[in-house]
Amino acid sequence: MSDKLLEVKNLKKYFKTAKGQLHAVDDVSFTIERGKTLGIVGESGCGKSTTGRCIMRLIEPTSGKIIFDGVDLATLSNRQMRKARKDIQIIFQDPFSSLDPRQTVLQAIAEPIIQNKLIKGKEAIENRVLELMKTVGLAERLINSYPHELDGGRRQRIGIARALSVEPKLIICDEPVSALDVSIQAQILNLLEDLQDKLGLTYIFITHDLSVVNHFSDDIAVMYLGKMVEKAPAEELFANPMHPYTKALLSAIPVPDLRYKQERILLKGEITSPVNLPDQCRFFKRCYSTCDKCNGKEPQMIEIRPGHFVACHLCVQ
Amino acid sequence: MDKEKNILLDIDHLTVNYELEDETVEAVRDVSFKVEKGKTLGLVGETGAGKTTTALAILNLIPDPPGVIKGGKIMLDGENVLEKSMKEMTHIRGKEVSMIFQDPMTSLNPVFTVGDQIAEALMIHENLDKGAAFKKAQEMLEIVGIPGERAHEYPHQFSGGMKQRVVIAIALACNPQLLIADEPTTALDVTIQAQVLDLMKELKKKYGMAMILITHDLGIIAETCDDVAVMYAGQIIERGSLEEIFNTARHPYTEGLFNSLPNIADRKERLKPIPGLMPDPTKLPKGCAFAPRCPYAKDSCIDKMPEEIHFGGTHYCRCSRYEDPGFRIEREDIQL
Amino acid sequence: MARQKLVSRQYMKRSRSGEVWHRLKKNKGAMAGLVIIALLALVAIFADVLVDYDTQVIGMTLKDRLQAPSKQHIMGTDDLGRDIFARLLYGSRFSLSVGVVAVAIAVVVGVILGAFAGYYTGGIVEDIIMRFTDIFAAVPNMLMAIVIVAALGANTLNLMISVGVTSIPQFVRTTRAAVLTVTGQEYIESARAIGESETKIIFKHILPNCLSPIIVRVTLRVSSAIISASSLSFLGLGVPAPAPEWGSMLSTGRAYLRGYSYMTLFPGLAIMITVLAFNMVGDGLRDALDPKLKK
Repeated sequence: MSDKLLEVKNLKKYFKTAKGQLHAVDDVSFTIERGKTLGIVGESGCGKSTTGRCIMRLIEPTSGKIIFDGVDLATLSNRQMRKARKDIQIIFQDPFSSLDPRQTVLQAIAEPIIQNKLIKGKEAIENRVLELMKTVGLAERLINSYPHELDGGRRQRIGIARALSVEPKLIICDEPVSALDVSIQAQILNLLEDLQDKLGLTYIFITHDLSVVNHFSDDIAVMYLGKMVEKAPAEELFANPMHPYTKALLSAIPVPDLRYKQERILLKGEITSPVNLPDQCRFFKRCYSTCDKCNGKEPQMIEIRPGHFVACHLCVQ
Repeated sequence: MDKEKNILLDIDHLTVNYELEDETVEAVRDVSFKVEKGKTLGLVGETGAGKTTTALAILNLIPDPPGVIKGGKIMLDGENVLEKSMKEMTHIRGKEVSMIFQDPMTSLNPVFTVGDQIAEALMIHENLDKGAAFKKAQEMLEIVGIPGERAHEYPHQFSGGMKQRVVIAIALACNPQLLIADEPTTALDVTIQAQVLDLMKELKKKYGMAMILITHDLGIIAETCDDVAVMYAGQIIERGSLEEIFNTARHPYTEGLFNSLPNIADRKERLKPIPGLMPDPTKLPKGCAFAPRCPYAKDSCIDKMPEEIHFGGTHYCRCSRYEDPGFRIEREDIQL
Repeated sequence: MARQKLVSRQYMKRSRSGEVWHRLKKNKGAMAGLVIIALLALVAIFADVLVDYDTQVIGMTLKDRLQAPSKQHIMGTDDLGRDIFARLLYGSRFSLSVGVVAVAIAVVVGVILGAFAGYYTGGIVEDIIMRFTDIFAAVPNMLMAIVIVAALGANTLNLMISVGVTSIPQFVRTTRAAVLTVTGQEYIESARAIGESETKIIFKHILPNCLSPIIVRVTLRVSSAIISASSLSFLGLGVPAPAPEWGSMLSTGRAYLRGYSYMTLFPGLAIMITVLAFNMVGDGLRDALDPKLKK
């Protein structure tokens, strides 16, 4: 039984820039089942964060369908969308800029509850806040603290409590741990995992850190310059990467284990920005194994094994 | 005796405080380590562990005020850096010791061409005239993998990875004996990070310089370093060769660091984070700074400052629990 | 049920503004400035109680003219025999009120325009506001003020308006810059993500976080408004005689600079001390509000 919570179809977001049209997200499609985690991986400028923000329309998508729980969010009016955001929440990367410095912990967590009129009455709201603080592991005594008095890990916990306060179905985690120290990172990842088990949450986990995404996701989608180039179940992707970019990306992770030695694929050149693209594979210029098709036509996502999609001319052959 | 000769840098009981208006931050506490010629030492630790302060002290660049070097010696090639005058230091910086900072975006001056910026170091230290220096600058660019003709371009015309290459070219221009790299790839993407690390390893081999690599990423350490020092709350809590630290770690904090990382072999294995938070550097406990977070801690750990416990070779750790002869941490030694 | 009604009450602590005040208290200069301003304000409010306007401030006693400081007239008398000390006391009313009202005008207009320009960036709104601001700022302040007073006529209200109008560009720019920084922060996006409307976001999240630079600018600007007002009065374009505005007192004293320098000395000192006080408070506030000094 497939229980689709979110289906994104042909999502596009183009920005106008001085140099031409920037294809930040170009024709991205995927689905997520209820209670699962989709990891979106890629390097800076690949459009992973834009994709996340387009889903909840913090950035207006240029075109495409975002079918969430049976409703196409892209067709909602601004007012309807504001209401719909209750079901989709986002956790931000930077715990130092994602909280209003003038709000105490209590105010920050209570704000979404009051905004969406979920609970009435000062006492009831405060009890709910305390309950949420307990859920995310914040001590009761911090209730009147200001964000600048707290460390990164605790601030990120406030962000999580805020997201949980409206009982969302889907949480978009945009690099939730990359600004944190290793030991704190593990605490937050475990917390997110526990919450998923307990509350049946669905996550979109956006990150550049492959070892984190591997640990955390059911499915992984790899993006490059606004395009999705490969998508597969996590185990399958790590065991059997197909796209040359995915292979290079996987081989580039430094592994903290001396037993683990692997050939590193060094890519030539640098990531460009997706402006005024010719009709060719976006990875063509940096790719180490190309065929004559690659220069002429942009490859499409093709399912080469059950659940394993890849956009590469060579892989399909 | 032969080994003593090979020591390039010898830091002895270095202690650095930041004295603020109403409190004192104990940034570096009694740190000692040696770096051999041509070797790479990895300095690992989390935010606030004192890694960067230690590095700045080597260049005598601690901002004063509020930074105060409370004690210790930093012997670079037999001479104490801390006793040098400002003028003598300018001859050492860039020439004997170079430093690469984390953010390539801000370590280049936007109003000069990259060629000029490399040439500047050469003109100061090598007494080259402008033309010769610029020519050498172009050679340096080629070495770090950038076409020489791009020397006439300005930093904003380069991408992040390219800028970090330029920074490396500047650092290496005068052929320093010691290169200090402070999180050199943290601001870069994974594939670019791989390129830059590869380049640094290659150049190190070529020039035979020693390197101190500061990072929080144990993966990078595993790939680039010969020796490792783990810092926590201003102290080196464990030190040893790469194999000793990665295969036979001894300190509970080092164990905690390894356990916090997702296991690449077993993806569903639950992470084992270190509970609690870093201690407030203005209110460090009298005894072991890690004791409040340590699963093995006994009451005595809180009050007693741990001594170095040696395990043979260069490997030691600071943990009082090892005074107990049967004590072992849970992490199993890795047999190669 | 030993539990208190609201748990948050148990953990009450210093509020954010309380913390700023705590830091400000440590700054001796700022505290001295605050004391001076408080004294001035008291004097200005109770000027009528302290001195009698008709007899002491504008009543002439020609036989007492141009007296040096003495027990009876501690700052001497002016060319019309009026007690300079009494006139200075009363004059604080004009200086303070012109300074405060002028800046109030500038703040209201400037902050609203600046907030719009900062929030709706890249659009025609921003362009119009900012280009007008640029044009305004390009005309020398004094010249602009003179033109406005000359056009509207010289009285206290027009003086306030002219000084206020010339201060607007500064507030537009300060506010816009602050709004731009705050708008880029993730907590604004976070507010949007929980379903808040744009208006609510501007008033609840953006403007309160822009207050610090605006507050600092206000205190510093009050002092320059006082100088501008005095300068205009000095030129005869301000508060009309015989009202004891400090600038016009300076202006009359100029003719007697050689023989009776105290006629210029005391009004000059009064202006200087007031301006200094506001500047010290402004600097102190900037340090106290600066988040970089925070841990």
